[in-house]
Amino acid sequence: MKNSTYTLKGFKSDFVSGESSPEADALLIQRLMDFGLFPGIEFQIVKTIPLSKVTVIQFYQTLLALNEQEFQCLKFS
Amino acid sequence: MSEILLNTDAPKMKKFLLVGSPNSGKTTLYNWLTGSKTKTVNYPGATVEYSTGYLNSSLAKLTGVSDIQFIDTPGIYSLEAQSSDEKVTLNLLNRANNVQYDGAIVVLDATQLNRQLLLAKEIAESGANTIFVLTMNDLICKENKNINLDQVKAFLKSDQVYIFDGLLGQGIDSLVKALGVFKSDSPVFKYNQINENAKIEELKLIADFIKTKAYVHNQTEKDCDKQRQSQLDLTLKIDQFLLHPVFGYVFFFAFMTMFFASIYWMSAPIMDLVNASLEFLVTKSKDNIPGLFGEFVGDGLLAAIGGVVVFIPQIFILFIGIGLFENTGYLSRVSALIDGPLRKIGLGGRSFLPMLSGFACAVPALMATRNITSTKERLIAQMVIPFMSCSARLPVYGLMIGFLFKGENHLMAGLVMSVLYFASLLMGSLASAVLAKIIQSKQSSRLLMDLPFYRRPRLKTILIQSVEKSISFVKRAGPIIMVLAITLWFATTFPKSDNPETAQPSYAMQVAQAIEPVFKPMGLDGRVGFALLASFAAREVFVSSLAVSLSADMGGDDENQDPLLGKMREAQFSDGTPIFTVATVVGILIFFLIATQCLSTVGVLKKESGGWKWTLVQLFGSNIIAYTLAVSVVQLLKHFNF
Repeated sequence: MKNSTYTLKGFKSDFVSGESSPEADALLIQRLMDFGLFPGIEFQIVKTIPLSKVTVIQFYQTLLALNEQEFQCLKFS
Repeated sequence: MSEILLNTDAPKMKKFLLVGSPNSGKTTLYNWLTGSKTKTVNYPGATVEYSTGYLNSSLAKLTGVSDIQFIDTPGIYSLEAQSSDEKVTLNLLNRANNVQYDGAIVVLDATQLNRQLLLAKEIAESGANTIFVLTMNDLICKENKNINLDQVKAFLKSDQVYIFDGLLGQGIDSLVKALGVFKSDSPVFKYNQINENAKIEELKLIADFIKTKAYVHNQTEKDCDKQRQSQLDLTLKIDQFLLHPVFGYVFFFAFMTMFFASIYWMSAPIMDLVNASLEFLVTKSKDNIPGLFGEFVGDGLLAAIGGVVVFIPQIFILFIGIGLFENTGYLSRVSALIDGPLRKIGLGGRSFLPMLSGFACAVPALMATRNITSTKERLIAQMVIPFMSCSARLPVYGLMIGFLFKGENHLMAGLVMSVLYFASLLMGSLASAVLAKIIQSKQSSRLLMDLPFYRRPRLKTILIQSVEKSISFVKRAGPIIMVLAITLWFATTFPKSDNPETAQPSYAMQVAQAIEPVFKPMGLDGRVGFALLASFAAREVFVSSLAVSLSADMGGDDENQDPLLGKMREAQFSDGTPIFTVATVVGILIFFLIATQCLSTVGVLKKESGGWKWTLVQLFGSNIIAYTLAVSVVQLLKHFNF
């Protein structure tokens, strides 16, 4: 999975964010876009930290650390 | 803070907000503009409160511009706030509470335009008079000319775009001149929320702009790319080790242990020197100043001042260590590494930064929790931060460790210092785990953190900031120590009587005798209890209070290299048994490790947590646990003859 290039297809609007609220999910999606993530963008998974369940992705020259739920929010292929 | 609200009587004074994404270089620009030395670090979310400053005189002289006020604001990711620090900025932009400003200087990290241009456009389209400043272009390329300003201006539909090099300050004069002639029509700031699809379209436009590389001159494009790519490659290489699933944690614990232990190891020779100088001063003053005043200067004033001054080397090294962590970009990695483990106890990776700040001082650390989005996580972090061993505890740790190891085994002493710091982390974790069960919330913590490129720490800046913080530590503690020193010396010296038969115990001794039953279970007499009570004003006064209380009754011990340690070794109960033993010293360490004693911390905790409820839980809870645990350990160790 690591170092391959993926294309973001969109965001899962019905994922379990842990907050069980559509508003909270919407806020998270909004924040992901604020970080520059949008459908169509290409990114690489540069690191996974199993103990912490954190994934580090890279797009352009941005490195972004996402926890498990944040990463689950991404639909990609 | 109130300055920008009240400063409405100066019509000629122009006011500009510095806004932008976290870690975009706002504070660096603010420092150049105002001549301030506000701390700049290499992680997002360092500024959580706004600061105000005026155009510095040398820039004013150079550009012929004056009367400009700047307001540095916490970073925002968009115009929809999701945390308290973002709300501070948005309230300012929205002119809430009658705040007035002439324009918003939107600071953009030129290396992160792909995501920061969206915010820039949102601000510009909301009606604020905007000036755009591209920073960090020194990281894109070595020369500023590589940025194609015309293209950026065209994209932003503004001719007010400037370049600023935070390292050398290049471009600052052009910016100031532009601010000097800046015309503001003070429109109403109104953000029209855009829907998800519109945002996606906007991001696509930005992506196309970045892809075409129109914002850099073609002839240098390759060089720029190469340089940025090599920085990214280096960062990824370092992360192979520091974010390694196993070795990442090994490195983290190794760095933290080295950091905590070096506080003791590195400062030991300097502390010995300071101690010897102080001893010399005390002896000279007592020999040369006759009478009561000589006693006051030697046993009161110098003993009290010396009690804190001797620990400045340790405090200085503590700040150097924190500065190194902050400047390299490593802190964000640690947040990612420990996000999972922290989530199990109700915290998250974003809590780590405020907790580490807590090792310096709980007050800014509590304020730093504002960028934690989850209410539950924020409250838990606020409750846990007072457990972190702040710099004010360092003199107490240093003294007690010095007593245990007689100033000889520096290696072991350093390791014990590390153990104390890790113990404070453990205490915080335990408290957090308990609070996570008590505080009900379905909110989960959020990490979503950008990892900045590694940067070589600017040693000169770190040194200057550490010196300033050490001075500020002395300035903050100084007046309290002086007042307490005079009060304590008076209380321990009077009433005086020439006739031993009619002599009464000193006032301090009378109080000490009254409170002794409370401290006896901790193995302490009233004099030490008296010093411990005084430390509730501020922890750092414990050492000086102890120095004064023990000096008055025992006199100096000129043969001992460290006068206070000598007095501690000689201190006895009325039955001749020593007060300071391994058991009682460990008890004191446990008490200081856990108890919340600082009044400023209590005040800020009340403000940040939104009321007295959790503040009082923290204050009384920590003190009751500290006392109970200290008494239990002292009694247990005594049972085994320690």
